[in-house]
Amino acid sequence: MEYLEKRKRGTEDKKMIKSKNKWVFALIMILLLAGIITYTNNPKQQKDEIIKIGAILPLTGATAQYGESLRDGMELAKEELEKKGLNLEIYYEDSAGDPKQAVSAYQNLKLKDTDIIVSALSRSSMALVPIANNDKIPLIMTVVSAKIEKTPYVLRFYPNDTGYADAHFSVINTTKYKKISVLYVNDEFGISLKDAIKRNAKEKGIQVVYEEDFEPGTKDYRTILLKVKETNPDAVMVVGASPAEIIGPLKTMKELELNADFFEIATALSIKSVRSQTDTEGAYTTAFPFVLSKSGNEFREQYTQKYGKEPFFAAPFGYDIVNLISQATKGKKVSGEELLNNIYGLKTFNSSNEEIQIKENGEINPALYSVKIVKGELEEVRA
Amino acid sequence: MIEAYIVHLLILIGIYFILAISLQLALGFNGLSNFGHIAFFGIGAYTSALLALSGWSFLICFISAGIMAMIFGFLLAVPTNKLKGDYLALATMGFSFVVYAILLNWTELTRGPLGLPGIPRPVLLGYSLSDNFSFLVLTAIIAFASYFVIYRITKSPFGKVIESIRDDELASRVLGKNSFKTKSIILGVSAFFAGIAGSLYASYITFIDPSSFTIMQLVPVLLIVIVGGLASLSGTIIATFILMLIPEALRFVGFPSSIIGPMRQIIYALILIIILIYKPKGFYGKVEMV
Repeated sequence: MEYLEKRKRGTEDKKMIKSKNKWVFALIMILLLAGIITYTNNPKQQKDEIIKIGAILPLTGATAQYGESLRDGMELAKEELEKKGLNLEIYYEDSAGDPKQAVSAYQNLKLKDTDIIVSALSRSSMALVPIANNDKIPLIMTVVSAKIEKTPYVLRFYPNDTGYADAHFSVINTTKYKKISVLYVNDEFGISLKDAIKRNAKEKGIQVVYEEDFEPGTKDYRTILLKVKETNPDAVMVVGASPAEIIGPLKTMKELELNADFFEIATALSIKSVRSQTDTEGAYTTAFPFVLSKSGNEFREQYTQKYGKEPFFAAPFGYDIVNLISQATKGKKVSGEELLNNIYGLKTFNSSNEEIQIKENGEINPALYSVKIVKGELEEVRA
Repeated sequence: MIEAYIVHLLILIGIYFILAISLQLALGFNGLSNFGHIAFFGIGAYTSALLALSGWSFLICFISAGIMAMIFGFLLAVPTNKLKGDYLALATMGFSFVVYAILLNWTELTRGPLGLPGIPRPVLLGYSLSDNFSFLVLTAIIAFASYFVIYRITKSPFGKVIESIRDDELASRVLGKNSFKTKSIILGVSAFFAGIAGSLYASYITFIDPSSFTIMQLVPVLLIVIVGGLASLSGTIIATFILMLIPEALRFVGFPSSIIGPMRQIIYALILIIILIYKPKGFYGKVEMV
């Protein structure tokens, strides 16, 4: 009897497990089917005549702020163009800054018949360069290091590493600054900018007395800055990839009473909300023309009106890239080669960061300016 | 177009399948909470990429990747021999941090955070596997061979020994089984397959950097093993397909652009939670998670 009961219980358990399995599989199948139906019924698929942009951006993860502001800029440009009667389609995919996810996103965007790809961040863009070139689909990279080797179908819309360092070194007072220390984030961006700083310092006859890297997301800069203090530099140049990597060293310098001028290279302090986090008075930073009201006022106003916040530095790049594509295509579908030729044919582009030259090597580099923070506002530094 | 996308997904599934079954061998069959598995994947990828960039043939790169990872597997077995459970997990996690730090800071060899771009696609017997379909064939052959070898190991008398060590190490030792030797072999074999998966990954993506081999990258592999069920190879196959395909299926769901990234992650996480509520031991799990 006991045996029979056990057996009965066992059979019931198995039935229950099978039933649970069915539910799980059914859920997954429903999801897959829903996806396929959504894809096949997507009315956007029928818009064959308009230009389709695929944007592979970091929309989640530690670098989501870049992706989100780029997307916001792109959406703003799209909205404005639509008002002018120029239609285009933008498909967003999340790369989370990861090369593998970026390649998957690219393959998915190919299904949507995208004419051009926009990608952000070096890690994910580097994986896309060879495949985009192979498929002859133009790729515009932004917020990427200049160290990426480009191919004929690849353009880079971002200041180059020399541009960042040049902004300060073109106006730096060589009689005041004889010795500098360099702190940089240990990633491809930090390393390439550190190299540019050292190159510029050598040309100007300024001695780099100390250099050290820190890991992305570092919170405590006390040990590094104590070592910096011992070298008694005239200025400390910091390359950080996020605002926290600038605010952290600046706060610690004041705590340690390290009396050297603070130079930030990567525009973080040009953003008001970042500047307000600590006492930044007297610090130097770099700024894009649109921040200094040299250009892009209209963009800034519309962005603030639409999103209720000031644009992060990456936002105008998204905005400008969409406008550049629109100018090169007039919103109509063209082949990859034609699109590329049209972009090169423009020669210059009136962006929210002043007029930029479109170089033959695929570089589109907006200018940067050296600025000093005086009473919380940005003041351009002149030679 | 859809074929190219499917081929791409199948390649990734193949690579992650090899990585997951190799972890299954150590974690599911031998009970080794090896959180350093991603480091073996990284060692394999870097070995293969560096050799390929120096002009060595794919076959040499591929085998060297496996062997180099296996050597590190044996080396890791020595200091972690007497550790179990959480302690082993922490020690192996430490190993993955060490490997990451080396990849990041030995810039003369690895180029550090700049990574290694332009890794050539494999050329086998004079035939270039530059198109994705031929790469898929290669991946499928290697994935099948890996499955076959691991399946044979688990079904052999040696396979019973590794399972007995997982269930009761002391009893196995009382019966005269050398648990240190067995665990070392398993870590070495498991690392070998992770290494060859790394070689395939580097050759396919053509760009690697240290951030691709952090502990966070182990999470999806660990999920495959857990959702598939510990000590179940067939469960691993199903879980690899499901967990690799769900995020891709979500790409077809038309969310507004303002929430597209986080929304997909939330749904993916919810699906995983539902699966694990209904199947706490995974699809075909034979043992409980400790």
